[in-house]
Amino acid sequence: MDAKRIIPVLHVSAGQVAGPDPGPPSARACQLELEGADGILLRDAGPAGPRAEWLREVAGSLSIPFVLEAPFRDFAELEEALEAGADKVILPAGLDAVEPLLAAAVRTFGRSRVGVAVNAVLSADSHWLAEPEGRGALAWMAGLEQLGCGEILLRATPAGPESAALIQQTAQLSLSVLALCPEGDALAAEALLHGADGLAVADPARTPRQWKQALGTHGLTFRD
Amino acid sequence: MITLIHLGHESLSTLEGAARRLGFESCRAARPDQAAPAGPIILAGAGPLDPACAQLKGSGWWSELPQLAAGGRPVLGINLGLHILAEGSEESPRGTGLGLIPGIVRRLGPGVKDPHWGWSPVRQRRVHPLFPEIRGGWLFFAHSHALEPGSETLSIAVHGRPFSVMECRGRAVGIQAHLEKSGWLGLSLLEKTLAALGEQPGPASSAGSN
Repeated sequence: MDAKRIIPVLHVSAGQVAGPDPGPPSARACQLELEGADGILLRDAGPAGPRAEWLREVAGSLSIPFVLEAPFRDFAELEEALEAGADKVILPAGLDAVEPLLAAAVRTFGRSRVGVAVNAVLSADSHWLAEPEGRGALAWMAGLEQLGCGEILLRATPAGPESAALIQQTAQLSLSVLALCPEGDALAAEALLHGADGLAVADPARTPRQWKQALGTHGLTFRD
Repeated sequence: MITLIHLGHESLSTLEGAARRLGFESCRAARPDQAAPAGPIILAGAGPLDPACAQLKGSGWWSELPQLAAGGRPVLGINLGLHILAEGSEESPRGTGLGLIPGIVRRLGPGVKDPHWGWSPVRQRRVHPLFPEIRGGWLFFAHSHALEPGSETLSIAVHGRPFSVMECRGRAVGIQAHLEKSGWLGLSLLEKTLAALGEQPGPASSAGSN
């Protein structure tokens, strides 16, 4: 049985980690590896141009997988990120023409190297809708699976019993499910217990190893 | 010096970085004439099999690798590289592999996450006098196909059913796990595997230090 993954999120802007403690993404990612991360999710909303250089630095210094989520405008940008060393790219929610881009990426790089972020919001009549696509979230994710998507990065709002049920249904698909960590250990553990393969965590106050210690009490298996 | 076969779309940055941190020298070789004169040849990759095989055939590596292996040159296949070293794969039923490692690569599943992307515990099946044991450690995998375990398989993991993690036939070695992405344990195994293939790190070696 695979270990559940704890994946810290780093926001990158202009080649630097964004936030109160800026610095090169490679240095922060290596620190997180030492702190027990099972992978790194890098989010870069900026232009593609300067991205390849710092991606190569991350790839050359890290000994765990890392994933890049970015607003890829075309196949060439996505290709550049993977050739620079990203182990996987995530197409963000609401990206234009996600289906042809996903299909082309899967053809060239394979299922294991492409995922899609899905922002699922519970509607007033208790249906999960993928926003801003405006489609039923489960049907949308099933369609992505058919196109060869290898992983869903799922944000379900609001978090609670309904979102745990959505994760459970999503986990029935054959692809990997990485859940954006809801607030609170109980909800985070519920996401994993309901079938998420990993959690994307963005809490700088807690190391990945501390996350594993906190969630390990719920009977979940993590890598040592 | 380690020769890293460059397969078009593949990034070698992580593998190069791992070799550097372990103190090994490496060079990229898109064609056989760019290879180092001695030392292990690593064929690493991920993604679809057919384009990778076409790339190897077009560059001359496809015919050169078996000759080099027959002459005693160590060859290490990682992930897709292992699949290419095997006899064949369900991913490309009409094609054949290089046959340096016996066995057929099969699709994972059914009824499992595809691709298998994550950390799995590895079990040792046979002890080899030269190669490191992987006893209960967690390694990172990213694949949809895997070699069926055989009687000489050194170690296995399970994703729905058991699959081969490490094979060795003479100087040809195949590893399904991404050692270069498997943390300190992966780096340590990579170092020991390269040492078993006759490659020695330089004085700047820092194996396991991260």
